[in-house]
Formats: sequence, structure tokens, C-alpha cells
Amino acid sequence: MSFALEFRKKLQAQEREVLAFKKANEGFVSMPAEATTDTSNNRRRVFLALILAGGILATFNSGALVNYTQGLANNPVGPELILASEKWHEMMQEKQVTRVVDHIRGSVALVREARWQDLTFGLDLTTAENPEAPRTQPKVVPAKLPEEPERPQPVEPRIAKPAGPVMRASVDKLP
Amino acid sequence: MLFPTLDFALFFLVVFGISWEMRHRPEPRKVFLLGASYFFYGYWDWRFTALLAGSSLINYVAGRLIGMSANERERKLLLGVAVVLNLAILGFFKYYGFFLDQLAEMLQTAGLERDLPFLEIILPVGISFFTFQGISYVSDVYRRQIEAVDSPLDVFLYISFFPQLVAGPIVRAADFLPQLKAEPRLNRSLVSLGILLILLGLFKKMVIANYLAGELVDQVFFDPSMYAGPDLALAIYAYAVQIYCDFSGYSDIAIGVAALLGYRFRWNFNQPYRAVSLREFWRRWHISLSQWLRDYLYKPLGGGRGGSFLTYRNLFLTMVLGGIWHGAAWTFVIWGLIHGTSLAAERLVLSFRTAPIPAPAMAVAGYGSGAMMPPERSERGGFMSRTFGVLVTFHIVCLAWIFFRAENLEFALSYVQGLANWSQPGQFTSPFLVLMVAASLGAHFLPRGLVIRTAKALEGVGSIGLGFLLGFGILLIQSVAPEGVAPFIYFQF
Repeated sequence: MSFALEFRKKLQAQEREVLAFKKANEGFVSMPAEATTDTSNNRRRVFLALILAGGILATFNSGALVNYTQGLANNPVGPELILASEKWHEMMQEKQVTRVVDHIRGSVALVREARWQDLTFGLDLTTAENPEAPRTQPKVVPAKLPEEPERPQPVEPRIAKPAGPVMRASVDKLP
Repeated sequence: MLFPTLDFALFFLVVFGISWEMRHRPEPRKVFLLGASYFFYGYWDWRFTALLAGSSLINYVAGRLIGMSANERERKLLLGVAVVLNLAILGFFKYYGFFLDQLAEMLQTAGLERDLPFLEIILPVGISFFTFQGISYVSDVYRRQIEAVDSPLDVFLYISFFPQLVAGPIVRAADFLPQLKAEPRLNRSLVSLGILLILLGLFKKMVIANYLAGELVDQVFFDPSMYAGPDLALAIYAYAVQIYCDFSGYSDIAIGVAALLGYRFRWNFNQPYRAVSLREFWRRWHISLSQWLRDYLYKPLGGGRGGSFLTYRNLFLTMVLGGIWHGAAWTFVIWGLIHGTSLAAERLVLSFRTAPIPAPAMAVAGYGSGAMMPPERSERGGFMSRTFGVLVTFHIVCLAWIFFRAENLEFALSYVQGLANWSQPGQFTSPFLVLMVAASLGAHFLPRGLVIRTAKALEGVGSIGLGFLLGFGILLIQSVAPEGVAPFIYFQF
């Protein structure tokens, strides 16, 4: 008896699936209730995450807000926005939260300007004068590196040029 | 509008909020997304929205007419007219100046100088991508792979949907149109994958591509004759990394943004520099374009059906035309020639092997929630032969990149010549740049599916955790990245 019931239930479930499949192929699919709830929850989740991310950026990188609003100078509300962003930026600077970005930028600048001689990895650079030093050391950091030619000053990265000469006008037109 | 800008962030916040509020009303939602896409496109130059609408209209009408007609000759004629119209628009904006230049030069050489109707033509951003999508739609309707769509809204949105509008991936109608019919859903896997891909794409573009472009590639390619072998070698490796990070970064952001709106796109890149052969490279690089060229150019030319000679010819022609698609310049033609010749040579060499050649079918991504990654392909052969294959393939690709990137043919040849001169030490071989190039190339050999697995791990993270991840992730990228916002390389195509 229970087997017959189970079989019937299974059959009904299959029929429901076929019906849903047909419906899906006919056009707009109506979602089951749990999927709708799931979508609503995830929508709220992402929206909150986006707002929170915006807040973090506005707090720690308030300088970018000033740069952005300065680009809106010709806008009717531009001057007010500039004033508000500058005030906000000053406030963040007073609270010293903008130092995080400055600190990272400083560290990156150091890494960018580093030369091979600077990469000692904590090893003794006087290998040449120290015959006792392990043989592997000179391979990592040669005691006497060939003199490097004068490097050009680091140039601020500029807008990437187009790969070919033909399309340059279009790229220059980009906002 | 560029992805890594505050303008786009504000735009997306509004679109995200409103579009999900409208999820129970599909038609108004589509109208809203269409309006948002035209705003996105018109933000660059509003005049070109008319061109986008015109192109969409041509393809919608052609699709309808082909769908309604039962006469094969009539269907073929309609398809021909639609393809010619699409290519005429593309050709006018992309090649008019080039052909007139060439004509003027020829006339001058023959002593027949004339005043030619030169025009100052601005190439509309993304024209190739939306033209290709239009051709793909009418061709698929003609081949009866999809039904012609009744609603113009669906076709207009398919062609102009903003995440993929200006630089791909080239989305197939068969993949996208059914998604417009279903009520959009946002599950945890789409959310985590979307956010992860946006962060990954921003990092690739804003940090790696921008640094390499600004500090090395642009300077060396500006005048290659000024530099010796070490700098030229590093610069070409750096360009290989730059173009990959620039383009795949855009694709990652596009896929991520679309995922957050409830739409799935296929992967466009899959660790291309780990390919052991050129054929594998093209299965991993710009997958949507490779598949497009295969289905709408290589196969209509005859594909591999007409014997060896015709197969080589078709392969060769496909790559050369693919090169010309990138732009009207001899450097792009040579880029296509290098790839076409190498692919044909590789096929010839492989044909002498006793083992059967792997099927040429492209890796196709699944469309399940966790199956957006192309399927794993077995890399045959031992470690040494695979390493050899990777090195040879990578260097052929790099050689072709020289012509792709060089300002003109003269500069490209000077670059190749300079690669043999190792008499001077490098000026740009700083640890920062060398390690950046090495790490970026090394990342190609990380386990496949790492992104998917990481996204899976993020599925359980709540809104606060996601907000912190996104906020501090972007903050770190902004702090590390060089100043300024550079346009994506592929915008010009």
C-alpha cells in the first residue's frame, strides 16, 4: 500500500516537473516562492554591501571625492558639492583615517623605486669580503653588481595608447 | 562610461536597485535596462546611440523577415542583405580613412593626384562588438538555431546590454535571449562570483595593465630603436601581460556586473598563456571572438571539410580577416598572417603524428550555476614536451604582439631587429616591473577553477562581510594603482 502511495507521489512530482518545464519553455517563468525569497535576500545583501563599500571608500579615500566633485565645477550644484566634499575630506584628514591610503601609496612608491641592489632579503651584502659565507649567497645577491645605467625618472603612468595608429582619435575622445 | 570610475559606480548602484525592484514586471524591467544601456553608451557621445539603435533595428527587421519566410532563397538573400548592411556600417567607420589613404598614395605614385573626400571620422566605441552580435543573431535565425524574436525590445536589449556593449564578451543570442524570458534570479553563487570577478577585473586593469603600460610598454614602443634587447624583450613580455590583464579584466568586470543583474555570460579568457599549442591558445584567448570567427567565418568558408589544402586556406584566411578586424593597418594584417601561418604549420606538423588530433571544437562553457568555467581539457604529453609547447606558443604569440602593438610597420621591424642586440644592459629591468611580469605570467599556471572555488567559499559571507571585502578591496586597488583612468585597449576595436 505504502509502495503504491509512494509511486503515486513520485508520479505527481514528475508531472509537476514536466508542467514547470513546459511553462518555462512557453515564456516567462513564474518562480517558486523560495527562489523569490532567495532573490530578495540576495538583492538586499548586495545592496547593503554596495552601500557599505561606498561608505568605506568615502571615508578612507575622501581625497578621491574631492577630485571627482572638482570635475563637476560646471554643474549647477557643482560648487556646493565641491565645498561639501572638501569639508568632508578635511574632517577625515583630522581624524587621520586618510593616512591608510597615504601609507599604502608610500610603500608602493618604495617598491617601485627599488633596485636589484636593494633586494638583500636580509642577507649580508659583503659576501665578496667574507669567504666564509655560504656559496648560495652570491647567487641571490651578487656582492658587486654591474653598474646600472642611469635610469630615466619614473614617469607617471599615462593613458594607454592605442595599439595601432589608426584609431587614436577615437580613444582620445573617450571621457 | 568607464568601469573603474565613480560615475559608473553611481550608475550601477541606481541600475541595480531599480532593476531588482522591477523584477516581477519583466517588460518594464527590460525597458529600464535598455534605457540604462543607452545612457551608458550615450555618456561617451550621445550621437552614436542613433547608430546603435539603427544597427539593432536592421537586425530585428532582418531576423523577423527571415523567420517569417519559408523560401530558402529568400531567406538567404535576406541574410545576405543584413550581413552586408552590418558590414557596411562597420566598414565605413573603421576602414574608410584607411582605404582613402591607400588610394591617395597609389594615385600619387602613379602621378594622378586627386582631391579625395577625406572625412574626420570618429570610430564609435564598441561598434565591432555590437555589429558582431547583430550578425550572430540573424545568422542563427537563418540557420534555425534560434527562433526570430517577436519583441523588438529583446533584440535591442540583447545588442545594447551595457556590461558587454563596448568591449565584449560577444554574447550569443541563443544564450542571452532565453534569459530575458525568465524572471531574473539572484542566488548566492552569482553574488559571490560577481563581486569576486569585479575585484579581480579591477585589479588586473587598474594595477597590472596600467603600471605596465605607463612605466614600460608605452615608452619602449614609442621609439623601439632607442632601446636594446633586454628592454625590448621585457617590454614585449610586459605587453603580453598588459593586453591580457586589460582585456580579460574588462571581461571579468562585465561578467561580474551582468551576474549581479541576474544574467550569465560565458567566460572569455581561460589562462591563455599556459596553452601548449596555438590552437589551444585560441580556445583560451578571447573565447567569444574565436567562437564567432569559427562559426561565422571559418565554417562558412568551408571549415575543414574540403581537404587539407582548403582547410589550411580557410584557417589562414580566418586569421588574416581576424587581424584586419582589429584595425585598418598593415601591422594588424601581419599579426593575422603570423597566427594564420603558425596555425596552419602546427596543424601540418600534428597531422604527421600517429595519435589522433584533438577535436577542434572550442571549449564551451556550461550554463549551470557553478559551471560558468570552460571544461577542463586534458593536456597530453609529458612535462618536457608540454613545457616546450608552452614556451614555443608563448613566443609566437609575443612575436605577433609586436606587430599588433607597434605604431607602424617600420617601428615593428625595428623592434624585431633590436631584439638581437644585447650589447647594452636594460634601463627598465627594475625588480618591480620584472617581478610584476613574472608573477602575472606565473598566475597562468595556478590551479584552474581557483576563482570558482574562492567564490564558492564566499557564498556564506553576509552583507557586512561582502561590503568590507568590496570596500577594502577597491580601496587597496585604488591605493596601489597609478593615478588616472586609462581607457581599455579593446575600446578601439
